[in-house]
Amino acid sequence: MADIFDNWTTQVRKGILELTVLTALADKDRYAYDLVKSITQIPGLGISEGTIYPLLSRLRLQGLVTTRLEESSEGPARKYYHLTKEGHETLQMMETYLDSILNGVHMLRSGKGDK
Amino acid sequence: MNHWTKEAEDLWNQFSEGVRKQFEQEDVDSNEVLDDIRRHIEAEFDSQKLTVITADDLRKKLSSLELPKSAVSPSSPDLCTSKQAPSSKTKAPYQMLLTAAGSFYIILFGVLLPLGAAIFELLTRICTSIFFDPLPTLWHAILFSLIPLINLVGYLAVKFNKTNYLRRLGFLNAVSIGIALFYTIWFVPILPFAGIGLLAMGMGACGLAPLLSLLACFAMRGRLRLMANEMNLPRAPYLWPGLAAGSGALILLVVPILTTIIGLNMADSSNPDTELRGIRLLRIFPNQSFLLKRCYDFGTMDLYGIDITGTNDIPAEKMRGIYYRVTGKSFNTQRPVSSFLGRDTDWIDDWDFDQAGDVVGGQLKNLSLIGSQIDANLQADGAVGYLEWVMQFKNDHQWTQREARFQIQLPPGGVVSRLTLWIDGQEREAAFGGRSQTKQAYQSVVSRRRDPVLVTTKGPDQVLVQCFPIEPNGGTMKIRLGISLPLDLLSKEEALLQLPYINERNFQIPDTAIHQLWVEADSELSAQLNLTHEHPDARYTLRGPLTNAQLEHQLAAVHLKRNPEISRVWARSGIEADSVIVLQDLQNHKGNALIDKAVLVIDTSESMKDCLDALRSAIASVKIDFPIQVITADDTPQTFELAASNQWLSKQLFTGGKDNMPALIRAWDIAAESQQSAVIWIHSAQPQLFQQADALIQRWSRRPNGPRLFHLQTMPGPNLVIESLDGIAQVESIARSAVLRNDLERLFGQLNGSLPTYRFTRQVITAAPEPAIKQASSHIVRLWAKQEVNMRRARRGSENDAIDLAVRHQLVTPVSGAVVLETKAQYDQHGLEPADPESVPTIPEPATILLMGLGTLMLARRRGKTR
Repeated sequence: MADIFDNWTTQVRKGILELTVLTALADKDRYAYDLVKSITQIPGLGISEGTIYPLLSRLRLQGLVTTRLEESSEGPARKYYHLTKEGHETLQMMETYLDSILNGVHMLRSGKGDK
Repeated sequence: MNHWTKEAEDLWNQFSEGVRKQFEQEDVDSNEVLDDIRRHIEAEFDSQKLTVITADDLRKKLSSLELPKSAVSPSSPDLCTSKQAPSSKTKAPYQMLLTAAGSFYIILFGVLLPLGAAIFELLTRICTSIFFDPLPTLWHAILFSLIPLINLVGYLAVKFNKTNYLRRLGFLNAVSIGIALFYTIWFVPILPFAGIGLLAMGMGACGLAPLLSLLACFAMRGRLRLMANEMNLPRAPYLWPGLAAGSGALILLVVPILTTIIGLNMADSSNPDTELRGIRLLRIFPNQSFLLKRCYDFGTMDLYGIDITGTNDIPAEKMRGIYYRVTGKSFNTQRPVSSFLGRDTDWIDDWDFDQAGDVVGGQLKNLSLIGSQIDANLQADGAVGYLEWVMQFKNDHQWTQREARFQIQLPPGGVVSRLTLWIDGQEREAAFGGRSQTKQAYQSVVSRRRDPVLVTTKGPDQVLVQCFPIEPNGGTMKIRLGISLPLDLLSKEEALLQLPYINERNFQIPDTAIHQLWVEADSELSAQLNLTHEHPDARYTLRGPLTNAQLEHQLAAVHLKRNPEISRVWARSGIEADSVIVLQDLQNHKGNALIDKAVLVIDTSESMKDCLDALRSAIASVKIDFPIQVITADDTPQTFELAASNQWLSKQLFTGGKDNMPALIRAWDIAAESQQSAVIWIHSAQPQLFQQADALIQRWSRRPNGPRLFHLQTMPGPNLVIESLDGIAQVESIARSAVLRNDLERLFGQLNGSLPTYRFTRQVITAAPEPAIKQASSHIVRLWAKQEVNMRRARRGSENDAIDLAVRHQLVTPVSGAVVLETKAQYDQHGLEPADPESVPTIPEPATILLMGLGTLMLARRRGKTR
């Protein structure tokens, strides 16, 4: 039972990872470590540096984010990620899609779907 | 900016290659991701302030990144098992160099040998006794111990691959090289002996320890260099700073001794300017321990008898003078200190080079005063008293007989009139004879190691006492000195007894209250110190225990009330053979100044510092009608008017000990310009005489009525200047009370005429005067005899008369002494006759016993009548 649940949560986390990153970047530009910190604060979610860098690279190649280097007073220059217009649109679509799925699931539970 | 070791770079490349294909399969820019990961890692290392990044550090960091398993190919390094890193499993090249032979060398010669050599030397002091002291202080021992300690730490750090500590290890290793190099150079002269000794007898490894440990330190540095190479550094860091720190610390330890040697050689110069510069240098950097040892005739530990310091030819007597000028202390007020865990001062306790001589000499550790009892009987109206001082000495040396030598400062005007030695529990009275006669008798008996005691004068109001032999292993010797003394009149109503004290000694006195004081008088007594007051019958008593410091500083100086109406008394000699009657008159002077000019000589020795306030306030409080010039008894005496004295006193540096003679000579010359002049000399102890007093003596011998010299000694201690002026009538001691300011104010006031001056005149009369004149103690006759001896002594051709008079009245004077010998044969051999026990003064005095008897009788009769 526990194994099934673990596998399922892993799949969910994996599935919504892009959505989470895009959402985090929707309001302001962030650098990778900042993203990791923010996302790991969400209960049930978690992400490591080893995971986020390949993901961000893929998003950049897909044109959903752009990057810029910015000097930091605390150490080496930081690489900031910015959500593009395409990224915003993709985020909008993802949210709409996820909402409709969740709504559908809830409807099944209340029995409205049977009617 | 952090530095990646070669191993770390290799690991990163290996990792990059491993994950690149995987990233490419996942449609990501592998270069970008790897750049991002590397930037991230460097940022984290920066935040940890890690400057050198090793493979191990990187391995741990990569594993903490939680890279997706898919990104890690089977060929990439195992990022999850850093504890089993190859660097721990397989040895690095520098570790490979720690082979069994290499380890053996570093541990044996870099750790065990120097550690063993240091312990061996500290326990046996063989090198110190044969060549020189390599570990003279605790700091030397600590620094030398760093060699084995640093080598051990370095060895373990390399063995366990503690690459993070490379910089610290590099510095410490250089420190150990610096220390070992210093010691190797120091030991170069004895290396041949150590080598030969090692080959021939298997001994001498300690002598080779610095050299062999230096080689071990270099071997250790070789391993650290290999470790550095592995980290892409050209060499082990901090070589020069470490070398500078190690050798610099030892040089700092040597600087004081070097400056002392340089200063000492300068101070020994015949050029006065160079000599003074040397003294001033020594005052800045005084190595007191070194100087003190030389005062006790220590040679420096020279190599093969060569005088490496160039100071061995300075005689001990001159060294004692230099020591005094540098420190302001007499050498024999302290004992030399052994070097660290050394026993190099032990021999002082075996030899006493001043035995039976004329000087007190250095203090002996195992000789001490174990008992002291001072009994005084005072007569206020006659302003006279008699004091007996019983002392007991103990010798704890294991095998050497000892001579106790000490100088006693008598109350001003006092004279020794009794000397007793206890032999086998029996009291033996001294014989009084000519000074040379008694001295000869003493020396001849000392050479045969029998029981004598000798007392001779040592300047005005000072006597030298010598007792021999005090047997070893707890042997004791007990003597008694009787002193006839005049009381000093503070006013017609008040007299003062300044107690005698020991101002120089060759034995120890405990800090506890060792002197048991018991003063009785026929009038009320008081003292600054809290002593027990008693008033039995018609007598007044003041008694209690005193420490030696309290005695020295006159804290128990006794004040007596007296009848101001009595200014004349008479006394009859207590000696049958000489029925002299002496009339004593009190004369006082007040109104006009006693002098028309004064020259104030102020000693600028360090010990005068404490007297400055008293001196300032005394000068300020007295209105002085005559001109006063001030001369500073400094290295270079200066002269100025009294008005400038306060300003001068506030800025003057009182350092070291000063030769006061040049200032006194100059003062005499200035004072001699007037007819009624005086030199007022305020000074500390003068334990050294840097030039003979001939120049002063000549002045007074050509002008006997020349300036008077009033001297006031502020601190206890010997005074060789005054000693050398013995017999000059114009020289006068000022009595000390417990408060220096009072004494100074009284002196200035008396000279100025604002305070009365009291003097006693004593003259022989043919018959007892009318009954209205009170009869006083026979000690008045002894005081007259003392004055008469001095007068006869000053007259040419009357020296024998002086000796006869002194011997007849049993007095220790400049022409006579007192000696106790063991047998009648010894007395006969030297033409001496011991004093008749019936003729010696006692406490209580016969007159007092009679008085007490009459008092008791009257009391008994009164009680009888009442009944």
